[in-house]
Amino acid sequence: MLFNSIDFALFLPVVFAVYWLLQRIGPRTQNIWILFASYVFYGWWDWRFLLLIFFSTGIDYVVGLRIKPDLPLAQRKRWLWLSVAANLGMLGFFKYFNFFAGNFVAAFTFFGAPIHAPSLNVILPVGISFYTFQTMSYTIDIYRGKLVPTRDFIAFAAFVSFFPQLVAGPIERASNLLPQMLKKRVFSRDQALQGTRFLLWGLFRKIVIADAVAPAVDIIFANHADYSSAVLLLGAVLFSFQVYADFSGYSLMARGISKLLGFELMVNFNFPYFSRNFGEFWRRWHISLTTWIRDYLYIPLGGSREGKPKAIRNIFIIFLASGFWHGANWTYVVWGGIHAILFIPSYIRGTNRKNLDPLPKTRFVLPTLMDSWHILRTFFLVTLASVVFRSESVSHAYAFITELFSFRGSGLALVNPYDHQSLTQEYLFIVVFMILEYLHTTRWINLFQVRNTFLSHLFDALLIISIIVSTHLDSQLSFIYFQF
Amino acid sequence: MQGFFRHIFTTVLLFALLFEGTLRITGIAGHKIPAANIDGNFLLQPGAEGVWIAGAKGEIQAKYSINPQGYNSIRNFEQDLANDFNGKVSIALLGNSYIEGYHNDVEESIGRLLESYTNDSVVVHQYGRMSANIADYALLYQQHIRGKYDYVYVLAMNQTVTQTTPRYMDQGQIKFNTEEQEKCYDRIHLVRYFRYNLKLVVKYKKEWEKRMTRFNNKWKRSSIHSQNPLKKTKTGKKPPKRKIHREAIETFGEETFFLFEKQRMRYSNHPLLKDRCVEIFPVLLPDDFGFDGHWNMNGQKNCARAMKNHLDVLRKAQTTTSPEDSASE
Repeated sequence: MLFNSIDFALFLPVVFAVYWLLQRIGPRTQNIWILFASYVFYGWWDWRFLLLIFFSTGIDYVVGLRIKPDLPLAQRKRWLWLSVAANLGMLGFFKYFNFFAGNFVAAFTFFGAPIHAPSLNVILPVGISFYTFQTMSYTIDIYRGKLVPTRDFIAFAAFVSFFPQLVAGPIERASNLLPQMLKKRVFSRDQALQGTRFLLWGLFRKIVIADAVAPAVDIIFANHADYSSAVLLLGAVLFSFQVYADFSGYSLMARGISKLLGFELMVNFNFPYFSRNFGEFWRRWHISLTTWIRDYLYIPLGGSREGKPKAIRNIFIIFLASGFWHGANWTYVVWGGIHAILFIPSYIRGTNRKNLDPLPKTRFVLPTLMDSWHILRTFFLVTLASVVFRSESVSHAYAFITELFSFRGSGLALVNPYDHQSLTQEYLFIVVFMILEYLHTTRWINLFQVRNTFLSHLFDALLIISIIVSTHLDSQLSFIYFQF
Repeated sequence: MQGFFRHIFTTVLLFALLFEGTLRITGIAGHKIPAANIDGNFLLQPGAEGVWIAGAKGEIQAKYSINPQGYNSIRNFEQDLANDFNGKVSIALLGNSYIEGYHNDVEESIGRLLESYTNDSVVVHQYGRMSANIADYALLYQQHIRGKYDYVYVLAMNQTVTQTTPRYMDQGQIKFNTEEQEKCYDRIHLVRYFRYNLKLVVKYKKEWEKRMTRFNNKWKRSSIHSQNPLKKTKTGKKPPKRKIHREAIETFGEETFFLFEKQRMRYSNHPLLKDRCVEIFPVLLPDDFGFDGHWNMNGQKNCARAMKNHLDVLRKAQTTTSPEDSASE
């Protein structure tokens, strides 16, 4: 069930109420309830998906217990490889089988020896890319000696299937979430209120921003040959906002729901569109995935310890892997490659570790001219790369970008590019949205501080009104990252 | 916990007051057009006029006007019949909410469009009523249409041609009383907004009925299995494909044709229908409102255009046969 659905609006209060009623019995009972609710949540899409999550949970629970510190290294490695093979095997089968089969056939056909390979009519289980990575982090951390395996199967299963972050992240680490599952949770009014604020702001991002621009993006990308360069640029920019608002909105809602249940999840997005360079961008965008890949792929490959040439090779590998994680299409791989190419120059110059601090709070609110230029430049390059991410194929992306830089047609259609309702309202919401997030980033305001003041209540009331007014129940759009 | 709920309650109360005020100021809360029991049929209050609003932001705002017969039309059907349509070709157009046409101004309804496309050589009476189906059309045809019009067009859709229970014909007494009781809720704009703009009640009633039907079907199948556990039964059996309401369709005379859109009607090749089907081609797009599947002005024009083209074909066929007739004489 989607977070922005009536089903979930009925589901959450029931889960919340029973969860805190069970507080007096103990955390184990609460974990049983979370587990049950999570399986209902996940099975709502398709009950067959539950078999996969049972499998992944079972394998990693057993492997976690088997990787004992006193075992010989070779044996511990074998257990670890079992976990990795099982999870990646599951992911590979459901997500990448047809991709590899299709490319295999295409390669043979290209060399004049056409063959026939079977293609499977399998549905991609929602969230498989997220929970397989999450459970692998558990066994890998145990192998590295960073985590003690748990014997509490219920807590472990609840960690794996925790419904707020199950289907679209953040990819939690066992070292963060598992201890929270094992300890007693105490209801905190401030935490719960902040959770509701996160939930509302996440819904605002998803419904008022992402879903509102989605139709325009779809039409512009589907009919790019019919539009002027200015409208194509508009489509690309709108998609940047759509994917950010959609994905970060989900993550924020996940954090909000978790707070309501007394859990703290990791921050997954830290206002990435105010980044001044690519190093900063990748410290702020999809943080759970980038840190996962850094810790479990980049560092084992050698990281930057073995000289710049190898480091550059490793950077390429992790960006390509990150792209490939998103989906079984060459567009994602190319997208990852583009980001690698954009990232590497700052690595070579040593500026990728610049701007570790957030944007400074300036006297006149606006950023400095230099910061403005860097922000716009980074945003523009990210937007160009996102055209490839959004396109159905590499050739589609190439055609789109070529037409964009052909500077054809006039820009007059920017307000109403596709003969539907005017986009003025959407533009207004995006501007207000970015202003508020900018003010929050520069610490002029705190969007997530909930006080018992009229202004705080008014802000929440206005959020609810804007969400309701922007809702189109007929065309309930799923979250973009559900497909990954 | 109490502090948390107090905070939530205060926020919700502030939201309700703010939103109620906003809706009253902007006037975008929808409303139900008053209903009436006319000759035992659940129709609309004659003389009611106004602007019908739909959509979360009140995106659809269209004028409506209920004629003395209880339909959304600027034409007085009885007067036109009494005047013998002033010698023009008379057309009756039967259908559901698509023909009722709230989503577009009543002055620009399908009938008015067709009249302008044919240089006012036809008069069109639109008998549209939301949720109506073939059982309603058959009763309507028998009681008010047969023998009075040169041509009759019926909008056929998957969900209308298979229904056997009328939704508004002969339902006036049953449904009108419920409408009266609901009026008190409609004074609160917030309630109206959720009911008519977002259509929460209708949507979730239908969803609930669908889920209950699915649940009951599963339960019935499992009951059969438990009665005779030794008998092998097929699992995952699909419910039978719905049959069109044959008796209702056989009611219509030769002057009746069935309008359809390919994506909304899969029975166009049915033996009872195929010789009388008139396809509506989606020439002008988009033909709906996106968030609402009803026809926008483009959709209405596509329908009027299809009817006009069909009338031209009929006229041509008539003029082609006439010279032979005179020759044989």
